[in-house]
Amino acid sequence: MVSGNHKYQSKKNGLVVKSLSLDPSVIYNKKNMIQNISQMWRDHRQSNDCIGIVADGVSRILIIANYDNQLKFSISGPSNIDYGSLNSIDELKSINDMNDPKSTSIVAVPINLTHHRKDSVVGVIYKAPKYVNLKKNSKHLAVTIAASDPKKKYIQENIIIKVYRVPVILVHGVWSDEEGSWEDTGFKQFLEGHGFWVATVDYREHNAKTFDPCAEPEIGNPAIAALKSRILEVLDRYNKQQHISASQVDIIAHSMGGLIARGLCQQNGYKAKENYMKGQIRRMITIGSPHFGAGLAGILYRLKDNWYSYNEPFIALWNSIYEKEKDSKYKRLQLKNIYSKKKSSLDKGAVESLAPDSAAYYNLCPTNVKSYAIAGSWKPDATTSYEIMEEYFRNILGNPFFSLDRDGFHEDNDLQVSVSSQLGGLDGKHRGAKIRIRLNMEQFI
Amino acid sequence: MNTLHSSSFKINDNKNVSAELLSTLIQEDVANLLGSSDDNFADTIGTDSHTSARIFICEKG
Repeated sequence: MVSGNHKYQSKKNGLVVKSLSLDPSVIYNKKNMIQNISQMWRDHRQSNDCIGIVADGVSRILIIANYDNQLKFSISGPSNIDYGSLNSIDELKSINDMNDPKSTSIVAVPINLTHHRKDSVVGVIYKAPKYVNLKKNSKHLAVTIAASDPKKKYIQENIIIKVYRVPVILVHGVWSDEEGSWEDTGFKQFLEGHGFWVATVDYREHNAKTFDPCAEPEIGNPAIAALKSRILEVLDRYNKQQHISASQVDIIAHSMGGLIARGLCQQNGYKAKENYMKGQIRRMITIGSPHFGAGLAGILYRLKDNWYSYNEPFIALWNSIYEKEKDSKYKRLQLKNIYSKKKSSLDKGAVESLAPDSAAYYNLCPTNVKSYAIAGSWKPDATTSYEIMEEYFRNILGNPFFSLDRDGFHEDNDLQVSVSSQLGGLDGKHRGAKIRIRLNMEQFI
Repeated sequence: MNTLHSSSFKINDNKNVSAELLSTLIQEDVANLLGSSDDNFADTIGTDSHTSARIFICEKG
């Protein structure tokens, strides 16, 4: 049904134009839509104002005027900017009619109201633009829609629609949580400082479990369920509390969080009437996500039950080849227990699933969401970190000739995930550099 | 600037090395991308498509 309503504009020339929140499910049924428009028209003074719409390219709102003749609705503004588009209500016969309207100007015919037989209204459906590029301090873009009688030019009224940024949800990775990933790093605050409305999802209770999107019936896995719940919570907040029409969110995901977000996209119900069958995610940006596996995960999982002499700091770990048996500084622990001391379980599913060619990757489908992958690399400046990590794996493998690049990742990496795995099949574009860029482009493309 | 997977892997490297989520360059890129057109984004991830990725390897050239 049509719910809530927007403030209506001035009554100049007797023409009242307003925007109403629109439940997508009514679009499946033209009769219901008209009935609900009638109800809305009758009750609009008692309802809360609707603020606007988010620029997800999917959300719609109803623009309606009390008039008994044709009205022309036009979006005004420079042609080089996407201000959204319009669809006629009277032409809607199915959800398919809602796909990708291109028009910014439409002549609509009157609809007789079921509850007010003497009254009629004229309306169009406004679809949000696919994105909005706002300045840091701007909260919204004001889009003007003019309604006018083509035959009586003095019958004319405008309505302003506020177009907001899409809400952003940040998804952390394995062995992490929302504070450690997004707040302690200042990432969340940075986006908020640039005008974004940002939420986080926290699945810390399950952050050592598999990302397998088919691990549990109905929900995929607990992390996916947590993300889905958070998305619905955010969209509900927009639609019902803030009265901003919103159907999708943007996802920023680090590490395994990218695989959780991708897993959500293949769950039943991901595409629903509420998002016009377009899915709950508008865009996804992954940062260091192991789309094709994390090379070291397989090694750690294979060695998890082995015993080691352990000493703080974590990196000073010796296998049986190097250990000094009677040195009291060292404790004998299984590798999985050493990691547990760091709250990083090796045996709860995540590490096993992150090994390339795991069953979890077999179950993870390519994801049809607008995507961007950011990949990190240790070269050339993080030599010390690389050497220490390499020495660590030489120790636990008992192989003094183990090469992190050559044997662990088979290529460049961020010390956890190879660059090509982080890219997820997308082409790499190097940031900033000059000669080095070209050399590396040859390497990766 | 080089970026490592997490700050726990950064040991005694110079100031040109950062954890991915601490990187101001990555944070700026994300903010810019969210307000940009779909042209910067691939249609699919997790397969062999062809566009839209960035590797943080060397800022200095």
